[in-house]
Order: sequence, then structure tokens, then C-alpha cells
Amino acid sequence: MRNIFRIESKLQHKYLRLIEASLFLPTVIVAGCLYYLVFFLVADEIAIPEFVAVILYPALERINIVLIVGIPLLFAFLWGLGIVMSHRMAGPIDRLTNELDDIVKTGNYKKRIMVRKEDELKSFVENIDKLLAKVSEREN
Amino acid sequence: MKNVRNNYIIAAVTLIILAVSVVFIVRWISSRTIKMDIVKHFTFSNENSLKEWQEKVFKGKVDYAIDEANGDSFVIAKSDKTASALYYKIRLKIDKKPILSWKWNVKKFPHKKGEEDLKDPKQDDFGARVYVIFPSFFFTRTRALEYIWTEKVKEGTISPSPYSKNLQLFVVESGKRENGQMISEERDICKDYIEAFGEAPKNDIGAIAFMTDADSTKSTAEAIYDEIKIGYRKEKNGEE
Repeated sequence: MRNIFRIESKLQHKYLRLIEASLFLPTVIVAGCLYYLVFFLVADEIAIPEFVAVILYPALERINIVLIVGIPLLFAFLWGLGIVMSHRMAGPIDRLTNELDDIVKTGNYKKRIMVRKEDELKSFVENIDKLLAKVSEREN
Repeated sequence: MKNVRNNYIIAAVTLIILAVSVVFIVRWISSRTIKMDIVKHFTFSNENSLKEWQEKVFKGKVDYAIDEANGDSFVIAKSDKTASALYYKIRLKIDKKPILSWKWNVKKFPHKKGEEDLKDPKQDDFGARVYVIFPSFFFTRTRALEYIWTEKVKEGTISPSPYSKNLQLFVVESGKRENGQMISEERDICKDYIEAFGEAPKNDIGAIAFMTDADSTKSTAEAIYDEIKIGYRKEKNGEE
């Protein structure tokens, strides 16, 4: 039986790391570059240090507060999204492996492999089910 | 006849003494001014002279224009509750000992209530100020020296700006000059930087600017600027 969001297999951790890297890294790089560039360009345009201090420093403080609160929330959201996505990818593979292993051991070709509607590899599993059905028919 | 000859001798000796004194005085005065390899010299000789400066507006535009008096042209700055600066980007290596010189005079100081306080943002207006800006990769680390002409604060006072410790105000002139003549300034930027920040500058100079403002005090101010020169200290026979 599959856990709702987590499976025991190391495969999910592998996918999770891949998804997190592809979500976190671009977010951090793009946001960091934008943060620096926007302020750098505006500061360069304002030019006079006193004007920069009066205009940009308060704006910078406010944006930093928003980022301090927002970044953990964004990262929590991305982490949750990563778990759901990795579960949908690794879950059916894990189940398929276990179920096929069980079928081979018991010789029970009438058994069907169930996957969730939103799982990846759903059509692949359905084809294996069809294959099992044909094997079961031939045996009879 | 003998008396006449003696008089000639006395006159000749007096003339020689006078000539030698003049030579010594001239040499003494010239030894007090720093010899400079000029990188940029702003003479403000015609209306187009201001075109190479960018105006950076903070609160309304200050009226910067070229004016002329006694055959000499200069920039006249009039602020009416406004603050905008004239800014010129110029890169100068800090290790080559940059020097900045200029002439200025404040015709009218912004009106400040009570004691003049350099750390009070409500009084952050000056008849005249000249900036030397040291930009940094992170703009929050940009530093600047601001040479200011105050109405009451003593000459030689150094104080951080009310807005940031990275901006140090340097009082170089104080009070009104009744004769209205321009005062010449010549600053060793590295020396002033060390005095103001307590350490040698790490970044090169990236820009200079000047400003007359009266926005914080909601009053008026007027000043004149001329002969802004920036360059490097001339090395003399391997000596500084």
C-alpha cells in the first residue's frame, strides 16, 4: 500500500532532489539577479548617494522584509510541490516493481496492478494489465 | 656728489632685497599649492558648458545657469525649495593620488531654525556642496565625500550625513564672505577620505557632482561655482 505522499523507495528521493534542484536553483538565480539588477540600475540612475539613501534604502528595507517572510513560504510551497510530483513519478514504478515481483513469485496472473488516476505511467501500467490478462487467458 | 652716490647704492640694495623677497614669496605660495596633472577641467565658459553634466533631480529642479561678471563666467545655482545636483561620471585611480580643486561662493544660505546640525535630516540643505563619489559593486557600500559650505558650523568639522555613514560631510568653508569673491579650494582626496572614514579608499573615484539645495528647510539658497579641476598629484623628481 502506497503512502499518500511518500514511498519507502530511494527512487522518490532521487526524483525529489532532481525536481527541487530544477525548482530552487532557477528561482534563486533569477530572483537574485533581478533583485540586484533592479536596485543596481535604479541606484545608478539616481546616482547622488544622498538621494539613493533617501529613496532606495527604505524601499530596500521593505523588500527585504517581504523576502524574509516570502522566501520560506515559497520554498515550503516548492518543497511540497516537489514531494507531490516525485510521488506521482516514483509511486507507480515502485508499485509496478512490487506487484510484478509478487505475481512472478505467486504465479497469480489474474492479479491486476492498480495505479492512481493522476499517476504518471498510467497507460504503461494499463498495458501491463492487458498483458497479464492475455497470459492469464492462455493459462486457462 | 658723494651723498647722491650713496642714495643710488641704498636704492639699488633696496631693489635687490625687494626682488629677492618677491621671488621667495612667489616660490613659497607656489609650494603651498599642489601641482596637478589635470584630467578634466571645467571652465564653464559658455552656455554649452553644462551640457556634459547630468542633472539628477531629487525634489524639483535647481536653476543651474552660466552667468558672467567682470569678464569671468561661472555657474550660478538658485534653489527655491528644490534639490537637484549636477553630476559628472569620471573614473580616477585612487592609487594615483587624485586632487580636486574648484572655486565657489555662497550668496544665500538656506534658512535653518536654531543651531545648525549636520546630522539633522530636516536641516540637510547647504548653500553649496561638492561631491566625490566612490561607487561600489553593492550600491549600499558606495561612499562619498561631500565638501560643504555651511553658514555656522566650524570649518574642518567632519560629520556623517543624516542618511548614511557612507557619506561624510566635510566643512571646508563657513559663513558668508562679504566681499562676494570666489574662494579657491584644493583637496587631496585620499587624505580627506582617510580623515573622514578612518581608512584608505578601496574603490576608485567614479563621479563628481555639485549641488545647492533648500528642499529640507523649504527656503531658498544661491551659490556660484567655477573652475572645477580634477586630476592627479604631479610627482616631483620621484617625490610626492
